[in-house]
Amino acid sequence: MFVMMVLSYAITAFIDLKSNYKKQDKVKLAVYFTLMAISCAIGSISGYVEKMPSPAEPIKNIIFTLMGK
Amino acid sequence: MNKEKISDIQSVKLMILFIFGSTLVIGTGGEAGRDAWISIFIAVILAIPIYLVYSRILSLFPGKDLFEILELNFGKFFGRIISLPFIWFAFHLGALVLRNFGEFISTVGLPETPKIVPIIIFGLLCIWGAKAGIETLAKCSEYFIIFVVFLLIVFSFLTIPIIDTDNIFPVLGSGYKEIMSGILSAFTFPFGEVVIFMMIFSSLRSKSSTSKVFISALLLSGVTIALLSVRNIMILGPDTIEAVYFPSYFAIGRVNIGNFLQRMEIAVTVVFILSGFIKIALCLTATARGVARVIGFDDYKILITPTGLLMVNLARNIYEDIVEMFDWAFKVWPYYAFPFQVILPVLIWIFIELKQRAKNKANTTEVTIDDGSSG
Repeated sequence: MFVMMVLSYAITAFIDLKSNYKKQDKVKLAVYFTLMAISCAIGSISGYVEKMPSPAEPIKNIIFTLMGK
Repeated sequence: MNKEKISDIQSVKLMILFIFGSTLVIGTGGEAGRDAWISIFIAVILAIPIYLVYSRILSLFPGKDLFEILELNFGKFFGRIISLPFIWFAFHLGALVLRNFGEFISTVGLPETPKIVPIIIFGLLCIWGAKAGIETLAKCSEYFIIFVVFLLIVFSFLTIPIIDTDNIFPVLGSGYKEIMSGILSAFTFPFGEVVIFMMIFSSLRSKSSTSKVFISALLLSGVTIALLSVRNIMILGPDTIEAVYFPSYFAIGRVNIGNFLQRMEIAVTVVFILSGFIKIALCLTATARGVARVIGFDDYKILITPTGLLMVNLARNIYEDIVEMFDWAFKVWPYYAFPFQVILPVLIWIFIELKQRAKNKANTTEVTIDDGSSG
């Protein structure tokens, strides 16, 4: 699962950057690969963890507290 | 940063498809029961002043998007801080629509397939669309809207034999509290979501007609959504509408002309795919633009793929199931979205107007002093 995920992200990044990899500066590429790594990590963990933390529940609790429900 | 330009008519079409988004499938104003259409009409009227606020902010700074306007008025640091909630809203909205799509396909078409499969496929398609740029999306919307309008008109006519006009009576029978709740629901989903366009409308070719674009799109899409709501209520009745997740899908599914024209609900799926694609791609564009602005990049397109994949991950993990999705959409979303759609833009508008007035006053005083000294 993990290997599959890393491979699919690597392929996506390759297809995404192949045409203009050399034109991009290092800072942009660093941000790009950091975001891709975070995304890949979340995707991989979601495959193993039954219930991932989601922002929906905390937002719901805050709103209901503010509304006094 | 931005060299892409779209015409007014393309912007109107983009905005109409954006507003249709998932609304035509999920429906809105459901809290008002058989009076949902009244709630939608009132929400359209209430959205007009808010749209005028959006267009006023944009027209004060032609050629600039919300993030640039915030930096110009609040300074680089505070401008970027105030941009963050808008970036989050665009990102979250994109993920929610993507999840709606995943749940819709899982429920009506592919119940055995994991939800992540349609989400990933549609997410990649939207990343591709967003990477192509706002001009390409605008050109797409010119073609898509023909299909959408054609399908809506044809299938609405085909439902005439199964319409029961008694279902909408008694008018205002749901109670004022429910209608008010329906108005808030219809206002925040979908009309208020148009705040996303403030983040991408630096691409408008004509600088003078922002309000015309906003208001024409609102009226055209608002009237269509209200009429389709009336149609669904007349076909299904208020009780069935409350019981089903996708009212339009089930309403069109009842069409049966002489046992020959039947199983027409695919039309609803086509409308959802076309308008959902535009909506998610625009949310993705707005998010990538905002992130690029905050971290000081001159080009936002490199950020589209990683942001889009993060959006796919959020869409996958945000809800446990369809029940939680609808519970959140109807009970939490109206209160959650309201500050992003109304409170923040209105506060920003008041600040900008006061700043502009102070600036004009200072200029007038300077001119008067100059005249006095030269005289």
